Amino acid sequence: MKIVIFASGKGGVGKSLVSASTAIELKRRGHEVGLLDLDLHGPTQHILFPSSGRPEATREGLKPFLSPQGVKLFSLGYIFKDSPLPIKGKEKYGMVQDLTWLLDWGDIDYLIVDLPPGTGDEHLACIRAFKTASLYLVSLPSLHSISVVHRAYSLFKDEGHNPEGVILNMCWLKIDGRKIYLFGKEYKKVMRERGMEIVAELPFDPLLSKAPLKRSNSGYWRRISKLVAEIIARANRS
Amino acid sequence: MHEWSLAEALISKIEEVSSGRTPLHAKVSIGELMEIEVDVLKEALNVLAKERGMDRLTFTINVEETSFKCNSCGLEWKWKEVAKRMAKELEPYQIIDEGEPTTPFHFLPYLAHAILKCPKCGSRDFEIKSGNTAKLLSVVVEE
Ligand SMILES: Nc1ncnc2c1ncn2[C@@H]1O[C@H](COP(=O)(O)OP(=O)(O)OP(=O)(O)O)[C@@H](O)[C@H]1O
Ligand SMILES: [Mg+2]
Ligand SMILES: [Zn+2]
Repeated sequence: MKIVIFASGKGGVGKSLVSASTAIELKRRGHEVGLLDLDLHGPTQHILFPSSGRPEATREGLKPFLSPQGVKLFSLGYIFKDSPLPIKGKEKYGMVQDLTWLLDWGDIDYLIVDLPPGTGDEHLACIRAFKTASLYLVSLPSLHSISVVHRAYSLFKDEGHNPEGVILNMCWLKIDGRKIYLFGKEYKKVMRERGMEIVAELPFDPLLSKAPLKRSNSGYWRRISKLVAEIIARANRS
Repeated sequence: MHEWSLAEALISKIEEVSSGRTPLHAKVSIGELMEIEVDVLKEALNVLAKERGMDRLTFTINVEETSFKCNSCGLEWKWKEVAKRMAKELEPYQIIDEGEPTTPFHFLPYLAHAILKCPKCGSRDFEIKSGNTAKLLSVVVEE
């Protein structure tokens, strides 16, 4: 099983959406996929993939939910819905550890992990539990976002977990065939200066807010497909 | 039964910390609020230890009393004191374990933070002072 982690120092940059899209695209290509939402305070995968069923368990562990696309899913949101989870420090670490062994994913080829924003206990617990995972950071192509993500990048690197690179999300919006760069174009230069590789550049797609998981022939999904091909190639190399 | 997956995780951990040496004895602590059946856990540990060739491994399992302390008003309370009256409130969060509705703490004790509140002031800002999750306390290996 290959493990792919999506992280970012920054919030709201599209980690969860890109995790979900990646999972769906991997499944479409014939791989068995699990998607683990490790956002303890603000889980969202249960909103992207709604299910009214109660979580179930067997002797082998907690059963993930199965989405209509065929992706196996787990998010704490399926258990505690909209309740806040004010959990701190060591306990967060413990919760992430519990989640990493508790789930019975069965035979999957890829486990996608969606991390919360920041660089704290969940992140460290996650890379300790999944030592062999490939790690991708997600950022907006804005200078602020890149600088925050660079901090996360350095942290992971110092912990001996080299990130594969950065996925830049919401780079441009296409209007009448013209690309409007939402945060300017300097990001390529900034990324080079920071020594971080750009693994993918994704457009802003207004249709995603209505139907975030509906695959189409849009620029966003074409680039997700390319990104997934890259993720597979890198996973097979390592 | 969660006891089996828990045993599986503990055995893997014991294997890891023994790093090639022969483990003889392991001490395990379980949080009271997890409502683990100690006999079932013990049996699962013994069966799995044998399966993995750890024939001489014995276990001590200790159930640690679960207690809380509120960061807002300072109240300290025990799970025992509130468990009965919490049963109803836990229902929407139950996990179906082999067909049986089971407390979510059985699997994820830290979910206490999403479900419980201080019995005095209603704050969610409390610590689990003792008896939270399942822990491997120590492993004695052959020298
Ligand atoms: N390329 C995109 N085009 C349009 N909308 C997008 C795009 N990427 C993400 N979004 C939207 O932006 C919002 C934030 O995305 P998402 O929740 O995936 O971010 P996140 O990094 O996981 O946030 P958090 O840090 O809170 O976990 C969502 O409403 C999502 O649908
Ligand atoms: Mg998210
Ligand atoms: Zn209180």
